[in-house]
Amino acid sequence: MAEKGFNAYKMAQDQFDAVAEKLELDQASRNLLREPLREYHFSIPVRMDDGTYRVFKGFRVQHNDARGPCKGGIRFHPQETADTVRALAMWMTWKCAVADIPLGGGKGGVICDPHDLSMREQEGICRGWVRQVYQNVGPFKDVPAPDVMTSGQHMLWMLDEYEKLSGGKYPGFITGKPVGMGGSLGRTEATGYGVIYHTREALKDLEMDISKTTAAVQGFGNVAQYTIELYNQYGGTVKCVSCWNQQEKKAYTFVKEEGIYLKELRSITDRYGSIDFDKAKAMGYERIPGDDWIEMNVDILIPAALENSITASNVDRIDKRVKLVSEGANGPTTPEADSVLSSRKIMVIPDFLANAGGVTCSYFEQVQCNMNYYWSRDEVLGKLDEKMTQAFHGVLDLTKHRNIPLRESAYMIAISRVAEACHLRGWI
Amino acid sequence: MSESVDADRDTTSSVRHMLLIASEFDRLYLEGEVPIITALSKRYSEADLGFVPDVDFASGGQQALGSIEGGGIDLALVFNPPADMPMGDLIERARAFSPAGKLAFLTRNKGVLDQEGEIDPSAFDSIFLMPEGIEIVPRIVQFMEDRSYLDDPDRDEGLSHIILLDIENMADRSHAIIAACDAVWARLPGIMGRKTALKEKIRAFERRIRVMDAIRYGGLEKALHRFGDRVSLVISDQAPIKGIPSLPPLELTEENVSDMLIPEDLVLKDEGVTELGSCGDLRGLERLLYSTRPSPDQWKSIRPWLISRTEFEIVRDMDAFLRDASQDWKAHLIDLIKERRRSGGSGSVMDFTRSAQVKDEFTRIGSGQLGGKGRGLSFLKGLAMSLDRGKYSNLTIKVPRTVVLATDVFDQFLKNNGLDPEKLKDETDERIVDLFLRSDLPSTIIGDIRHFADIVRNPVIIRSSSLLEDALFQPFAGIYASVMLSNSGHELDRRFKHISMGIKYVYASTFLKRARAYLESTGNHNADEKMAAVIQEVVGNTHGELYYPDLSGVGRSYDYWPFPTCRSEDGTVSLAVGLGKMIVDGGATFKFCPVHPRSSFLGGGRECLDRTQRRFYALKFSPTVRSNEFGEDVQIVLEDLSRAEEDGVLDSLVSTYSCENDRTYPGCGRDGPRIVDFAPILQMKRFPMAEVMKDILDASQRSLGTPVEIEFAMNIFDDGENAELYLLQLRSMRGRDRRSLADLDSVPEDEIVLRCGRTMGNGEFAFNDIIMVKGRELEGRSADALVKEIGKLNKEVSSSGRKHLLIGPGRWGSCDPWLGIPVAWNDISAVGVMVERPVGDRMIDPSQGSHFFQNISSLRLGYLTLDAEEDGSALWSALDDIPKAYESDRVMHLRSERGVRVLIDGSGSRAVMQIPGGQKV
Repeated sequence: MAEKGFNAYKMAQDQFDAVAEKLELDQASRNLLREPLREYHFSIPVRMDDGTYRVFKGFRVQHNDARGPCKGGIRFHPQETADTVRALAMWMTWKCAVADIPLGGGKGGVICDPHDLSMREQEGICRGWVRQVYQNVGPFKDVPAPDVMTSGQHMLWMLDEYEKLSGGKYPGFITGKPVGMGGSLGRTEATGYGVIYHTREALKDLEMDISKTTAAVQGFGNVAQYTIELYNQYGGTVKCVSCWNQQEKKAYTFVKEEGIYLKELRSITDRYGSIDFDKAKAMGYERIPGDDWIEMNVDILIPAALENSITASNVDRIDKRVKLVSEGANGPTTPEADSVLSSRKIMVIPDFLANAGGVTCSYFEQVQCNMNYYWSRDEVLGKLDEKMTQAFHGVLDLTKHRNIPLRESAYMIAISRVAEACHLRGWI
Repeated sequence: MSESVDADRDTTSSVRHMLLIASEFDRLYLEGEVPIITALSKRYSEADLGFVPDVDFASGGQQALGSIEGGGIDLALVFNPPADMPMGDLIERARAFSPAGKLAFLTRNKGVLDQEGEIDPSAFDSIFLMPEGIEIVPRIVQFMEDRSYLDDPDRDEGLSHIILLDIENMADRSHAIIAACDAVWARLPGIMGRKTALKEKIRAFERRIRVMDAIRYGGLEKALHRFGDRVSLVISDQAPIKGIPSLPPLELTEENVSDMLIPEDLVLKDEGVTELGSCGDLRGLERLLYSTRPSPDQWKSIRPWLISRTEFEIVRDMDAFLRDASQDWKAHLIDLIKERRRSGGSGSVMDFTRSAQVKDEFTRIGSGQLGGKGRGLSFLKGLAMSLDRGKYSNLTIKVPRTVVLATDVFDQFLKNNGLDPEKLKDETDERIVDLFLRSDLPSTIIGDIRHFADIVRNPVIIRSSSLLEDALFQPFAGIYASVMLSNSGHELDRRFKHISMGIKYVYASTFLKRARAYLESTGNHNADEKMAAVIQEVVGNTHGELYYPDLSGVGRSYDYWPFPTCRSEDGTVSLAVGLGKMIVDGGATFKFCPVHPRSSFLGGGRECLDRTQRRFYALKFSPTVRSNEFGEDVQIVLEDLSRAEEDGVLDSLVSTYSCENDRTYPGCGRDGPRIVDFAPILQMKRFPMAEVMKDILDASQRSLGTPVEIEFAMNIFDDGENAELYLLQLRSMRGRDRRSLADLDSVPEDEIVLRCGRTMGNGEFAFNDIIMVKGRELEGRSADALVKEIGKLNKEVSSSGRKHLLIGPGRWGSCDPWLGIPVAWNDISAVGVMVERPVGDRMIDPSQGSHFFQNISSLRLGYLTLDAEEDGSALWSALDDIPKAYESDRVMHLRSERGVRVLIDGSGSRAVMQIPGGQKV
């Protein structure tokens, strides 16, 4: 998780400082926003299956709640650090603000490796986590959600514990629940669809007909698959997907010049997201090294897997045909690579805008839960499309007026909205 | 050559077919290295225009004249004089055969021109001296096109830039033509590259920079005077003229010329000094305008750049805009660019966008086809824009705000939800509607639909627009559903939900019983059908809880039964107060002829009281629509005319009857019964309704090549002085046949049962089955039961694969049970000929504006409307001898082995019904 020498929190603060300077924010605002408002660090004792007890380290960071209750996932990871959680909480604040949903940013985690834990032990961690912070979280304070190595099941355990302690029914306490148990229709596809809603609007501005474009996608997890699904529905052609092979512990790219067929690829993908080599070959896919997705002769690159995928060392391999990069993953482009893309006039839809569909739909889930009235899929996705499109055009307008990249505009909009909320509340 | 390219042929100056006249020997020389066809193909494929000029060859004058006489030659290029006839004869006869074709002369040897009496240079449109190689031929084609374009005021839009040649030396001139034409051609990919629609490409091609000899206009000075600032470069062997970019012809290359033209990149400078930024396309210009503060003078540098990019519409609009001075030209230009960029990729139909704030627009969601209604509306939008607005001073003609969901959205909807047309065949209507309403719309469009629901606050109508509707003889009028929604309420979620449901209901209607019956009767299958959906703002005004337009109408360019003083070609217009449902469902309406609008079809005095419209349709605002009741008429109500008077809309629409003198007076100024005769509009000419309808019907008929039917609605402003007329739908219709397919005179007198002078259809129809409603009275209250009975009998006849003759009182298919029997199409799907008898003593006019009528005429069914006299003299008793397969109080089914025949003279509107073999009648 934490790379040697790399501190995500420092990077997030540096980003903030640079934008604050451009916005000419006052010093008090800078001091307030470059650090979290609140942090909870606690221990979670759990009785293990073998009868022994282990104590796990848990966190919840609430970066800012000036615009509404905090929102952010809970991560179970053995290399989790407080600084990573702080950085992610801050990015959640900006993501909610740029999508213009009335939520703040938060993040939580537990240092543990679920691979080594039984389901019962994981349930113990979930319930223990809630017991430690239930007075500081809740539907109107801070709303957790699934994240790295947590799922709908974990959310239901946490909800159950919260309701037990609070003495009522509060389905809006947590999001990412299964449909029928307080979950929202459309949540599964929301992040991937959101990426394409932004991509569609960007292509309109580039005067490119989406149905005549081609794309290369890095990743074949949830975000990538639903990105491809909607992109195909708009008539776009995905020429390749790059995905991780769990057995060989390395990535491969699967290429089909006439366009990959999502349904058949899904049918030969295992639960770790690895595509079966032999079956893919039989279906006419060519297998090439994982990194080669970046040099495909396509109009759009969609990194939807890992951070640091487009770097100074590989950015020059990007084909001259590429006009757009839609960042489905978090942090896929390093700042150095970003400058190169900018100089080549390749439009980049920044991660916290491009993949904001997930948190936006989580917000919709929370709204539905608080009303205890659930919408149809059409209503959820209609609202999602509306939110994403509005957010994109807000950012694009600033980009046009200031002649700056989308990433810079998105940060400026997000930070100024949060700063404004703090001012209006009279905090600073 | 593709069909679409052919269609553009008459409207462009392009050379599509050239003839090269050269001896076999000369041709060998000419094509020594590269065949001419290859040279042309190479050049035209670069431009990606969808065509390459065809080339024919003639080895001598006689053969050439044969080709020219055959027609279609745009350019004849003579290479050296022909051996088999004098040059003068060839020119003279070629001109006689093809006055519009161009004739050019090409030679390697200037000496040929000097031979006395042999060649008269002025007899050709142009003469070229051939340098090395065949490459000059494609440039000659281009140059001759330029000449055609500039010579024709209908083609020359007055904006294209021009390179003028003022060169005496023939060799220099030919070199200059090559360099100039190449410089122009090299720019085409940059201009046309992003245009995907062929029509757009061809238009840009037409608007390219043109190359022309100054001498053609009487010398350089006169040419400069004529073309003014359109001249972007002069290539001259004389001294340069101050202020005009000039080049000498010596050592001329494509690059020299290109450097002197308007640069491909626009560089904006602050007061002509500091560079503010540059751009290479409209998107770049939009950004430049956003991020800089251009001064008013900068329009002067933007304008020629836009012309060089063939963006004439923007230039014209800006020129008109700037005449009003002191306005924010930058904001206006940004709006124009945005609109242009949206329409750029898809021809004339713009893609729906959520950033547009334009009110009266016609847009598309999806990339498939628009369907019949959608295409009609697209045409009407163009027509409304092209009409001379100054001509109708107080009447504005528009198309309501419309968005079309293209057919690919329908396909996606069926696919995503697993709705298989084959399986739906066995389902009931209720089940199909339920299945569709519970399905999800494609994720690709729901955001757009939601945005539409957000910006449109007036009622909307969602209409089917099927591909099969395109067919002239299968109009599908009223076969598929239309859903009207009040779209009221402040909650966007609710409005979005209702519109979504409306779309799904319209989609479902493709598979309902009514549509299936129609498809079967027209030999089509559900699998052939693709559905687009038109979502359109309803034209009207709010009056309390009701919403309706002041008047609606249906205009037809052909009148089957014209008023005695009118001709069929004069057309006819039906009008009604309120929503057009009154007309299309065959209710009481007012009919007039647009050429003679004062002629009344209502009759005069007291008579018109019986015939006039008494009720009208309106939309009732209701915030809730229950899904189990979701249908096309769910929010439509029938109101008494007095309500419209209370709402203050009648004064411009009615006259008042005075029983004291049995006369009518325009308006509502006095007490008395109201007659809906639109006298204030048609007789007092408050609005040029008749003139507008005539122009619109004529223009539409000209474009479609068949008679047309147009639905429209009109809102009169509160001042009573101005109005907006909205065109809603266009259909082609069938006119009367020129030749009769039946010989009525051959029918023996004693076999004739009845005669009729108001008919439709053409030919001889034979029947064994007659379904006949007894008597001439209508009982509105029991109409539903009667319709069911007829439907049952129709099904019996249909299942045996036969057609029936249908006879009954009043207007078949009328929505008003007091005017006729309100059958729907599936109740009488096996009908071959229908006969309408008078109601009591009253003859009911056939409603030419109704959907029912449209289906009858287009499907070529027989249709007889008897007046009281014809009905009185008909020998109905002759039918008594025919055995009855079924009989009830109201209706009977006669089944005759010998059969009856109906003969209709399609050219003369006459018919007889015959019982063959003679009978005692």
